[in-house]
Amino acid sequence: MTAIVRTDRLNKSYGAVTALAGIGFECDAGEVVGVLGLNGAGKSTLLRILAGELLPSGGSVWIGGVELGDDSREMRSRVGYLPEEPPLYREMRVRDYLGFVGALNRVARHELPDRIDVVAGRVHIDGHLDRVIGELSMGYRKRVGIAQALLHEPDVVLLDEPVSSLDPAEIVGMRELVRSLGGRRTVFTSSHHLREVHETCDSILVLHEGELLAHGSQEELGVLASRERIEIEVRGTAVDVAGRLPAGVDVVDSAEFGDDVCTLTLDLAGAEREEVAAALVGAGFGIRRLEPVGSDLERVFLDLVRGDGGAAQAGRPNLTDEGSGS
Amino acid sequence: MSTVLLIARRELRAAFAGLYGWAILALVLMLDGLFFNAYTLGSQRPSSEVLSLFFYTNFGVTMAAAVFVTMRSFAAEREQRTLVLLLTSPAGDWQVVLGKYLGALGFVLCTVAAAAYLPVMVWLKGNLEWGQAAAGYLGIALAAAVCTAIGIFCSATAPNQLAAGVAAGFLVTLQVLFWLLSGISEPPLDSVFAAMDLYREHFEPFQDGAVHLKTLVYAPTVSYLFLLLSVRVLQARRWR
Repeated sequence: MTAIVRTDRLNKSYGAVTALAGIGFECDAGEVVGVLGLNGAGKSTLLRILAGELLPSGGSVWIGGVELGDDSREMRSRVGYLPEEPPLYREMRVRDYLGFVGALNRVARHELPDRIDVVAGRVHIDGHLDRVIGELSMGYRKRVGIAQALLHEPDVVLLDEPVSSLDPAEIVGMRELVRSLGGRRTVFTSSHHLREVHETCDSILVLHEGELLAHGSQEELGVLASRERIEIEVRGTAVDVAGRLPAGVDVVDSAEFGDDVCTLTLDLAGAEREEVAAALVGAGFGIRRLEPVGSDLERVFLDLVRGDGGAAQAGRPNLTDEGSGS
Repeated sequence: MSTVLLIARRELRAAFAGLYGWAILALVLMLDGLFFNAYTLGSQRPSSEVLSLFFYTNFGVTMAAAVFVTMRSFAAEREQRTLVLLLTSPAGDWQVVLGKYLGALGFVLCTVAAAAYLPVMVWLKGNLEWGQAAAGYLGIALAAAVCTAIGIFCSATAPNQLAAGVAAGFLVTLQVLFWLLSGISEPPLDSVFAAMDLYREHFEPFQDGAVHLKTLVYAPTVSYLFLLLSVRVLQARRWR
């Protein structure tokens, strides 16, 4: 695989505030990369620099071998960018808007109509091309925003919080869309919705207070895709219930209530859920509730940002060592 | 150049797509008509004086139109978060600025053209001198070029549309008040201020039919200066 995006000791300061501190990473062509972090972690700043909107205070960025600064316009032509709020001219019709953006990104005039139809079909707005953008729902506006980012067939697509302000049905559609973009082009998608990142991304960048805490695939970061955090509510005491769990199942957390009811939090694979349920029912415990409360990614992420990275990364060689600067 | 024209075309269409552009156009026509009525109709002035007065009032109205049109240019895009589309495209900063400038200037010149029925009335009912009309319109176009460039700079710099409008209004007004500064200044500043005055030094001869070479140099130079500053403002924002 070839690194299509590379940064080295990337810094960005807004006055006295450091937004990014010594970020260094490489991403391969075709990867879907999740940029994770709490609010103010530097996710949007990183994407804005990769998009060429901002220039870094220090360090270097290469996209497709072109360094930001040498020829920023050439670099920008290789990137499609959807900011958190789609940059849409609300008075324009979708087709006219995409035509404008395509021409702006040097798509040949004779190719534009076909290109617009293909991209519109891809993001499922083909029935809305003649509508005025201001009349579209937020979900469709996001889709138009993605269409403008894809129209010139960039090597790298940057999506800043693509699921924010979408309803649940739109989130599912957006998730499938982001997943489908991978393979042919490198996609960066920032989010603080861990489930989105867990389900759509091949690898993850974890940012915290401007520093790169970790970078790697979910497996490298210790996120077993099949594992999920489960909360189980059982009639009985926590000690008794824990003693009846199948071997190898660790209790992450537990709590007891006055009426002889306890809840246990467990990290389980899919098959283990059935084993746990069968073991407890077999032992005579009544299960009142069993539901997922978060993925393993949540655990890894929180361990990292709380400074307990050792637990998350134990035995895994994936913490970035290239210019984290921290 | 195609990118510049692309951006300019979109600006021009956007101006006419909403109520704002039509409101400016209506206001311009109303003011031009009212001034024309007040200064000329019913008077026994010669046609050349009527035309001169028309250009005099049209000059002020056009300056105001340039301020109102350009205050939206960059500031509105920043407020609506659409400027990022231009800044992350392969278009250069100078192409963005020039495109927006030409689009805004195109709209301002449309308002000038819309009021051209008034000189036509002079032609129909009086004795229009074509040379004076051509010189007057050339002067209006040069003044519009300067005021639009000032407005573009203010819009690129100001945090919002209102601030952009106030700043552009101030700078444009300053352009026509330099002669006052000239009157109270000592040499050599008095001649510097006099040379910078947009109306007395540069436009007034045009409204009477005289084309001055110094104005043909002055207007593009000042316009270029403010557009260059606008490009620098955009570039500086990338570093913030």
